[in-house]
Amino acid sequence: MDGKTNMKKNKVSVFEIIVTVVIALVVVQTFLEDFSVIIGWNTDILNLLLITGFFFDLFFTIEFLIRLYNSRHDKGVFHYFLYNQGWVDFCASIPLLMFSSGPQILSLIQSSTGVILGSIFVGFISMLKLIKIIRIARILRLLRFIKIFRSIKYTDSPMAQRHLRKIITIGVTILVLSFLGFTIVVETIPFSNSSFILYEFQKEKIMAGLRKNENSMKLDSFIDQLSKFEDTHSVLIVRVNGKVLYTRFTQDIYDADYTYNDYEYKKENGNIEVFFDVKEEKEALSRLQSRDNLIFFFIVLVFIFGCLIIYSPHFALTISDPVYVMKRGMDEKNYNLEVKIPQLYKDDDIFKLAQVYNEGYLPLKDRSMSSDEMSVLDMGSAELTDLIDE
Amino acid sequence: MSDDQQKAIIFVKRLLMNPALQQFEILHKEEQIINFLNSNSQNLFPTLTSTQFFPNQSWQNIFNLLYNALLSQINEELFKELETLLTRINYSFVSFLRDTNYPLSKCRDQIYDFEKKILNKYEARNSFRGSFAAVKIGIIDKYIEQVFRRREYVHFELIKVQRLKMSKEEIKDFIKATLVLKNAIHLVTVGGADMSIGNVTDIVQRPFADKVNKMLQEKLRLLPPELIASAVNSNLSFLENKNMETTSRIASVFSMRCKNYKPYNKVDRGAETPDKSWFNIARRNYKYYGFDIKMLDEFYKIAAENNW
Repeated sequence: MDGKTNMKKNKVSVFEIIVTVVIALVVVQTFLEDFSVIIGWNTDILNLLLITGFFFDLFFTIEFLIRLYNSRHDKGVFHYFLYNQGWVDFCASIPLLMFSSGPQILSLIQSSTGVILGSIFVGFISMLKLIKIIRIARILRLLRFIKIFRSIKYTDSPMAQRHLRKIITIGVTILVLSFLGFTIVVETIPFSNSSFILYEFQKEKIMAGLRKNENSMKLDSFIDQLSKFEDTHSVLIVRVNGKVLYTRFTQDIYDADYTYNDYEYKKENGNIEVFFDVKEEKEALSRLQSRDNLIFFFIVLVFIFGCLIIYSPHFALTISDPVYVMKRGMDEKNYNLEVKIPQLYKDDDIFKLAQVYNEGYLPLKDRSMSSDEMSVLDMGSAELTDLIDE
Repeated sequence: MSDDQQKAIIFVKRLLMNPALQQFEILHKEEQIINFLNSNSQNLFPTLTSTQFFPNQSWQNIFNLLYNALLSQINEELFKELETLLTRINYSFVSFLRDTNYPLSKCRDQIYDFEKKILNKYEARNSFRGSFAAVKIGIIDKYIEQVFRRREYVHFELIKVQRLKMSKEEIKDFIKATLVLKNAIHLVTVGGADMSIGNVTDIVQRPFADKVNKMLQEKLRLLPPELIASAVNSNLSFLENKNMETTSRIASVFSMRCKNYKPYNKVDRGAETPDKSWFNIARRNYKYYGFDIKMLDEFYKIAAENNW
């Protein structure tokens, strides 16, 4: 029975170590994913980061499901979800897989298999909406910072660890919810940049021209004029009744240079399909959003380090250390060190208690204790036998 | 030497090698082992009466065997250490007190011979534990240095009240010699005290001290009466003897400080330093131990200032 328990414990500790390592890696990946957009790393690296992000989300989803399953045998699913940060595990896994890395990876697969134009996502959800959802969901990744403190033992006092974890959880959750709210509000406000207005105007002009000339002989000459739009908002492909009437580049170029969020799809009258080039606008927008994400990332990071560097020693000084010293004094007969009472906090309840300990308990213990009762030697009969047998 | 005695010596030798004891001074090791035997007698008895130990023996016989073996082992080291310690003390203060030129080595030899005899008594050994540790770990030197730097109450009491017009180093040696001879109070005790009950305070009454003082002055003729009185009176309570020598009061405090001296390799975060803690507790218990509260206050301040 003991052997089984030990094996189970070993498995659990190995699992926790793996989770901790993955969390540390995912923090780096989260940073790099946004940093790479700002720096402008090439598509291969961006795609690699996207793929790793997907596997991390998949890993955390599996981890959540395992913990959820195991909690049935422990204190129950409800307890795990509410009191053992199950909700953090959930928020930082399934929504991300469904709304962030999942859609991204599917689009990536489709674009890499040559079906860039006409993706199923483009078919049922507008690209802008998809990207907005992805951006919003990505903020939930910051909740993973909370997870790292569950498995790392950063202080000897379980009380200090629990309090710090609670404060970090509350703080990070409030920050993430604020960022989430802020991002939702920002994403619902129409983008009113002047180049965007110009782009929308040109887009409408082109669509109106196509509608107007759809059934006339002028359609070919109108399409010829499209190539004159050499600015960034130019038309990539025009398809009428399923037939490609115009394409700016060859399929090879689309495959190599265009990812799922580099174009916008419009369909008119059921048979006119137009793909607009939005590569640069999207890149500029991505850079802005990545910058915001990095700001959020560093705010959360600074908050956590603040808790660890400033609050943790303060908690130790004012709560856990005095308690530890008093406990040792009460447990061990020959431990008679007083609790250090900082002048600044002498009116705290804990230090008032420490004062009673210093001025009442220790002198009493000193008087009542017969020194001759104490011995540091503690031996069982087997060790005693060794003293003769050796 | 009988088989049982040999077994007892082997047993004690290995007990003394226990890593938990290595941090302690020699007499503290002895105390730890005696306490171990006393407090675990019920558990030890079945094991120690097995065939490989001491079959068919009573607990008292086993204890005596082990205690004698322990004494022989401890004494071997203790007397060596005592000799070294007494050699380190400079007895030039004797000439100052007696105004005669005795060979100082004779003073040392007389103290050594006397201690060797008196340390056969358990009470004297028990009393000697704190004094011996205090001299050995150099606690007197560091506190007297600070006393002379501060020139406050203790300095005044030493120089003006006790009128020790001697150098700082000589005063330190005087106090050390007082500490070594503090257990001389047990000269007339009958011995055979119950080892399971500790005598916590070591305080005696003035008439008893006077009687011992008189006897010792006849016995230790080479030593100045001031030193003998200082040593004997260090067992009095200051509260009932306000004219007690300053050196006696200092010896009384530091002997008690080092009685259960435990070196702390690392003080816990959130805890006060060992000396500061001890002096603060002693300040609360000064009436119980018969200490001079003003002296304790000054030593407490010294400990606090120096983070001791």
